Amino acid sequence: MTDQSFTEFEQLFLKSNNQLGTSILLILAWIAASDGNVDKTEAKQLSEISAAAKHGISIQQLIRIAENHDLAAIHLACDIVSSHFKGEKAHLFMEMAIGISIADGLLLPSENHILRFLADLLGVNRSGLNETFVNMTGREIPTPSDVSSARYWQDRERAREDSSQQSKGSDSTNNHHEQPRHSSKAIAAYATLGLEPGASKEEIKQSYRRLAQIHHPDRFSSLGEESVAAASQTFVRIREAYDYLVKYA
Amino acid sequence: MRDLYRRLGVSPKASLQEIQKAVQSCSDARLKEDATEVLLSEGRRKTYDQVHTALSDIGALRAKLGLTHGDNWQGLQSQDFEKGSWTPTSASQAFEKKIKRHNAKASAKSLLRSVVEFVSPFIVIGLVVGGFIYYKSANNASTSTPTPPSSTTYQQPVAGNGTSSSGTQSANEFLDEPAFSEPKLALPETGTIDRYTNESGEAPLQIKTSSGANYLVRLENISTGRNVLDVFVRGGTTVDLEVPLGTYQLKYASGQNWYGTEHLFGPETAYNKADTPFRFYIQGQQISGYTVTLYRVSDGNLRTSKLPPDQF
Repeated sequence: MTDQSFTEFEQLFLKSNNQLGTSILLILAWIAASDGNVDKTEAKQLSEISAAAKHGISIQQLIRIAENHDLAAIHLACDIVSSHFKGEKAHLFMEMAIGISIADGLLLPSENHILRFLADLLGVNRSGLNETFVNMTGREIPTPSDVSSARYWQDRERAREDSSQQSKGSDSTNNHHEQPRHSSKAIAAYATLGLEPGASKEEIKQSYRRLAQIHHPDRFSSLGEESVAAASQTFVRIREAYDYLVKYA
Repeated sequence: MRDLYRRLGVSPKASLQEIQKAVQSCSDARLKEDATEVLLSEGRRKTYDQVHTALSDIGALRAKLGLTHGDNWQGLQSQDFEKGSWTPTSASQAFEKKIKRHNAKASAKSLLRSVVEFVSPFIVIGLVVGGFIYYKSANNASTSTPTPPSSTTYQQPVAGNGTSSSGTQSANEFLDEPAFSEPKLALPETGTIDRYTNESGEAPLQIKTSSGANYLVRLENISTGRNVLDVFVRGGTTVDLEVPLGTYQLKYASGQNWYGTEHLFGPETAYNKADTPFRFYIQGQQISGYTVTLYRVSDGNLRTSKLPPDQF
């Protein structure tokens, strides 16, 4: 008798065997969709997390809701998540969200804004968020780039010119030495471990050990199966980056 | 970050030509420069649009959630995206902005309250339905009634026959009494049930009644109109039964004295039906069910209507 008056998400939510899990998955799908669309890799990750959530809800449907920017649905999911995660759990949830956002070695401005939003939602203040970010990455959470200002783009252009000039210069002086060249895959792997390309084996090992501890899925068990599964995704990416660098770097 | 589209007065989906036109007629030198550098370059616009989309969502959500003053939102110059609080950033309007912010703060509180009110019914219903959906036992050996949910989490109140009309009722009683001379019978026990189908009961139905009247509750198949079961519930008692899956019309007769299945509660019998059908169905490993509370509740979520006796 509820069927007619509820929205699509509300109906899914009511049918769900794990309403918290469904809410978390919608938020994760929204994060994945925030750069325009949910790509294949993201869809696969979401569907694995969805399986762990055992909520009996189709992930494709949730992804579609997220891609349509159904704010009423996301709003409801936010309320559910914030009512479950307070205090220590709120911080742990932020760690999980940061892990997912930076697992590719990049923090896009859109991801940065979403992390800040989630922090406010869960009552984690600016210094709390920054502290968590520093613990995880060894650096402060950057101010999201203001891509609406001409200045940002001009500075970027200048920086690019400078670096290409520099590399030209170094080429001419070192043209008898073999400069270590890094594939884009290697650069991404270094970034995942929070390292500059060309970091030493020892640095790679150290960074991996530290990150593996931070992102170990068992740490997130108090948040529920879907959060453990989300953390596992991050964990796997870190291990893959490490394995790659150990082999090829 | 600022909302350049909003400031230019164009849609985020505007074509390059439309943006060019808006930029040309723009009198704000800084906006003109930013829009030229950002929106008139295809690659930069793509990056800008990604952040614009995320911030549009976040701004609207922050407004909805009363988080426009969140610690992690300040200092990012992203107020353009706070839904409904668009404020130009010229210095002369900074004061106005301050006042608006003050007002927004006050309204944010009431907004938050309305949000909570808006959301909590879902949560309650969520609990309710969750409470009523139960795992189907794998071995199917347990034919016992499912554990009913606690009455505090769920009420499916039916506006029943209240006692307010007792005055007129007794007048009718007085008039009708000579014509009705059937013998009064002993009240059946709560849970006395007549089933008119061979289908086995699977979905839980709990019926609660208030004292003051006794009830004969009937379920009819909504598509065939055929009677599926009658169950007797004495006033102030609760019965748990299992019904076959399907969609039903719920009707009930009520009164004080019992005169048997033909005359029911005699001439004073009140007949009612629920206005909403009851749907019992399987969802995966789960079966939905209901609790129906038969007494007048001011904020009940199920309406009923009086039924002429011949339609019972």
